[in-house]
Amino acid sequence: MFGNEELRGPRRRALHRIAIHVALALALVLGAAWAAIQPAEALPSFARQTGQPCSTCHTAFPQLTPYGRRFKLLGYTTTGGAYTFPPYPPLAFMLQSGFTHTNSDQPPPGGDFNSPNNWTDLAQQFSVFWGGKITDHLGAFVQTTLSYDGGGAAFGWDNSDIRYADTATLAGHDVIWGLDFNNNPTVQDPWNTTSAWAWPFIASTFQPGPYAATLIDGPFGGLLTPGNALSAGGYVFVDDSYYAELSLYKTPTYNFQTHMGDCCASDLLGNNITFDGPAPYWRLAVEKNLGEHSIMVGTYGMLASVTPNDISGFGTDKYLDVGFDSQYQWIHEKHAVTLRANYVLERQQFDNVLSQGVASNHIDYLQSLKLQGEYVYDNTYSFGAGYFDIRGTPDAGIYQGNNGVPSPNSSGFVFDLAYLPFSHGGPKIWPWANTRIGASYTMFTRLDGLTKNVDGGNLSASGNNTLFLYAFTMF
Amino acid sequence: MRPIVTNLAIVVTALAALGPLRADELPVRNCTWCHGTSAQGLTVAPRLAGQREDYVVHQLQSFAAHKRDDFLAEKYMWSATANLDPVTARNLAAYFSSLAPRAANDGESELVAEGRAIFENGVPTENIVACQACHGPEAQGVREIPRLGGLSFTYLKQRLEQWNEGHDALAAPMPKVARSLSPNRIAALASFLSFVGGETAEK
Repeated sequence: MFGNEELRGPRRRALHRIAIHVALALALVLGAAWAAIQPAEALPSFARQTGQPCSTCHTAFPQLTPYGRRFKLLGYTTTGGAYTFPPYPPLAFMLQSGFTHTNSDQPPPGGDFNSPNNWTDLAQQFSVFWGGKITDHLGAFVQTTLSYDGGGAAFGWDNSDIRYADTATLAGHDVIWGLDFNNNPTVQDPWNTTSAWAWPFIASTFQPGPYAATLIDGPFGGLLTPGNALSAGGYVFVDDSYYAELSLYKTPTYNFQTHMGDCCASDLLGNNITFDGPAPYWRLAVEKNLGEHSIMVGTYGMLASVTPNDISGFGTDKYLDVGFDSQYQWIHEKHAVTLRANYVLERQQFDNVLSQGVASNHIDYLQSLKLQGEYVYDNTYSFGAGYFDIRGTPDAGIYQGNNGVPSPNSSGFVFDLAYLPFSHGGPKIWPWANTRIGASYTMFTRLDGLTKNVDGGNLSASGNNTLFLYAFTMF
Repeated sequence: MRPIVTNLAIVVTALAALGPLRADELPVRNCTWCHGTSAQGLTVAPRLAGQREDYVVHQLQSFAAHKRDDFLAEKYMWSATANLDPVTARNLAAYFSSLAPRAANDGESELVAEGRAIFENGVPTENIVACQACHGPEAQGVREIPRLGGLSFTYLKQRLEQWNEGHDALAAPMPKVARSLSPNRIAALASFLSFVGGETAEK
């Protein structure tokens, strides 16, 4: 995952040491090759396969351009480069390193990180990808991640999206159609307004954040993370403008999720989320492109019946998420502007946890709003700013962990400044490498209903403001 | 684990039924992921449908040789043609030329009359040649001379501006022709041409 969702799993220090050694070795290799410059690319395996530079599909990765969205909808199968599968496997790698400082000291994260502030994590995430075609119409983006959060390293199945896609002409209309199989709702979405590929594209493992999130989105992602739900679905994109998708999600067994590195998604009470039957996910969007302008307006959502902890006898909790989103892009030669808006309304009907006597209300609502703008110059310098707000029905049962304040309400701002030095030239020995070196600052104006005493002590909401310095490298 | 295995079996069966191992004879989608699903143009990428086969081949050669050197050509097409063999280039050009073109109809309609006048008659007093002399009365092109009718306003305007800026200098006679066109006349020509072959042009 690119976000800040904490990977849970077995603690494996040996794997962590391997990750650090790999990181250092690669840093040396890349450093030695620094002086030799060649044209550079983005998700390196996609770049090798298509022959295109990163800037064809990304303004500043991972933000997609109109062409990047079509590459994805066509199943990651288009080629044009010198290195395609077979025989060249479309493998790529990612390393995320960071330094985190919070405004006020925090409880130590534990493990190797026993200080109350200023954590340096050289291998926050190390990923291996299969990113590209398998056959002319079948392609995959499959990420596995070794993550490290201080307690130990965890190896897990990360964002994965497998597609079969083709084009057709129906009644005079151009159609891209496909079948899609993925492990995280919205990972299949080609717009960066939905949660799996939402801005900010990288955040600290240690960043404090709001307690509340909807099933499919929130200020920093939804409750479901990669591997917690598996889908089968289909989509059409008509006349390069009208997108419709329907997918059905099921939660794998706890055993399977544990084996894949992350069991399981938790509801707001900390219960494991198990879907009772397939959960439909839908998506409708209109994207209009005129010259250098591209605008999308869309809606999406999910309906899930959840049996908390898979314990029968209390009925199911029903979650209905309905989202509305919009993205505008203007890409003029070296200038790229992207504006995004996302709003999700979630209706929670707690038949189960109410009858268990845990929730206070039968029906709660939760609303998540995100507004963002990003400017990129020459695919090299990126500045982004965003506002987030999550609010909902006070529920003393659901939000009992919030220091006696039964409110999910949080809001704040995020700023991100990044430098992508290899957008026009990577190391000669591996010209497809790219890196995003940046600083982000997350400001909380309200956290879990409070502006002050958010920890029950003297910590103010702004005490959780987080400075994150990072290096996000793809190779 | 059983449901997962069952699901995977269903997926594999479905994919097998759909023939994912089928290989394409011509890598059309390598072009259409940017130029639009039926090559009618998308954002800044021009329409390829109905374009003259010889013109497309010649342009692909120009991109590969870095002779066509405007910003967008360098950004997208240099790398797109770097590994393109001549036979595939010719076959792709023949395929796209066989598709029926649709007019973009995205110019400024109030400029159409002025654009039509320049296209049909030129501006004799300023030594501006009539476009139709080479591109044909329906702006349909011939051999290496491109079809202009119905290309998008943005593309036509940018192309004429690029010659004014000194790009693609070897594409005689267009650099010289474009230099004699003012920004207003470029906008008028691009507007008129964007409707040619479309419904609006008939009215």
